Amino acid sequence: MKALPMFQLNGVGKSYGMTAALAPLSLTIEQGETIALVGPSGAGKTTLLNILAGLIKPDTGQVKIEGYPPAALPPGPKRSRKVGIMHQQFDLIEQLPVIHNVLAGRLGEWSFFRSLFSLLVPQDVQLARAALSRVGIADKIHLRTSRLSGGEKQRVALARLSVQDPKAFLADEPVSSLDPVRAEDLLVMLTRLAIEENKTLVASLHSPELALRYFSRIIALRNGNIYFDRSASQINSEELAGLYILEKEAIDVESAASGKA
Amino acid sequence: MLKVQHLERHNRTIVSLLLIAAFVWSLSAVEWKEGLLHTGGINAILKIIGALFTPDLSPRTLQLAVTASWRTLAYATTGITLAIALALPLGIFASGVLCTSPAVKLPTAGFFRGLLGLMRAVHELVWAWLFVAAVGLTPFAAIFALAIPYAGILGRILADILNDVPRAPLEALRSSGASKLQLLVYGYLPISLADLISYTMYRFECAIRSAAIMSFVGLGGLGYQIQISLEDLRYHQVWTFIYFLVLLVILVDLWSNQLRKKLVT
Repeated sequence: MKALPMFQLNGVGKSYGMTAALAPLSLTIEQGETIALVGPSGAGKTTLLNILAGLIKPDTGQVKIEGYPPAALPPGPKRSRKVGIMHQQFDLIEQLPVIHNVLAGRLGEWSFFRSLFSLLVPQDVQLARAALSRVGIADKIHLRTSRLSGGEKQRVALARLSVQDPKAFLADEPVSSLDPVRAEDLLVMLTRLAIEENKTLVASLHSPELALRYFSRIIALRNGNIYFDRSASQINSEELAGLYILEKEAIDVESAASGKA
Repeated sequence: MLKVQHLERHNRTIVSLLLIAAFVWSLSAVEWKEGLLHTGGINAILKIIGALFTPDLSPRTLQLAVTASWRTLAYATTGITLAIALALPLGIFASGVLCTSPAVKLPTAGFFRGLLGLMRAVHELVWAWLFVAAVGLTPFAAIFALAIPYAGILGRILADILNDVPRAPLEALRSSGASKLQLLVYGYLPISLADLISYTMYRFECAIRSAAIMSFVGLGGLGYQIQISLEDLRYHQVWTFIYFLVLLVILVDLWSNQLRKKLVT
């Protein structure tokens, strides 16, 4: 029997006030795929990711997360076992030591008292240590999170995601606040982790080159529509160039709009 | 439009002039010749100022000052501890961060905010009179009288700080499966801890001053000693006790700086 698709979107649309963030679109994402979402700012990448994560309800259409509608996966362990998400701004608790930020990925599995006790005597330390060494910062385990650099913080966020161990990793612009070298390092770790543990990965990116290099399937969004959607090996340089023009247009439109305002 | 602005500026000048005129006129209502200082008043003031530099440092007075300081400090510490214990649950309920639906959140948060307001609306001195009337001149009267309004203040601040915690890190915890209670101990409280501690330490300072005042009701401590010495016109002693009070406040301030440094870095 074929495994259920990880995500199934059928005529899913979302608008904020008068502006459509996502035109009704349909999409199937199989288990184990690594997908890059590319497109200019405002193309709907973040909206799409948040819909996949069950954080936003679409206005129209149906979403199925491994066969379940998002309403059947309330916030808590039921949802956190299916999907986990990391953001551009890391969103860690800066005041806590690294280890508790990593172990926060276990909160869905722990009882309240176990999680409270863990703040005094950390639970599942081996798990946290293993996750941190996979992202190369095991030595920072007891440091206060606010003392880490941006790249290190994003690795902690990745370690938290891997400790959470959801079936699908979602990443919203995970590298856009990092410098090019660290961005590439992080993408290597993220994709390797996803492939080794057979996770579905959907990440939004600004750079088409990075998308081509590290992901198997590219979905380009433009004005809330799917511009193209195919495997990375089938994308030629013309289409890439098209994406660049797309980005330039968007910038022109943005600057025109801000000029008006 | 311009005319309105012009008129407004004009009006402001007129109001200012009227207020100044009222102040000048009010000066004439004071009888300057007599009554401002009672006979020998200037003499007393000079004596008090003179004693400023020569506090009474005799062993007996010092011993008295140490005992009185200890008692004041004990009132303040016990009072603020009880206040924290009360403020934590009340403030958390008043912030509404544990509620899931707005239908539950609005009335519960409103009720607890109201309760906190009631507790701090009455000054600690008034609470002290009430408690002395109820339980007599015991330390419990002083401690309860301090704890109730201070819990009202601390609880209110706790609720406000919790409501101002940035959303994004909390959303991230929520999406890793945390419940509302786990969100409280892994998100809200660690994020706001440094602010909470420094504000509580500031309130501890205030509690020391309040505890000193409390003793005017007859509950003993530095305020009580100051009152007795003033009645006996022993200004040198008065200053000894005041210096001890200042010392207590400075010590708490130093301690609070130490704590804050540890928490922020």
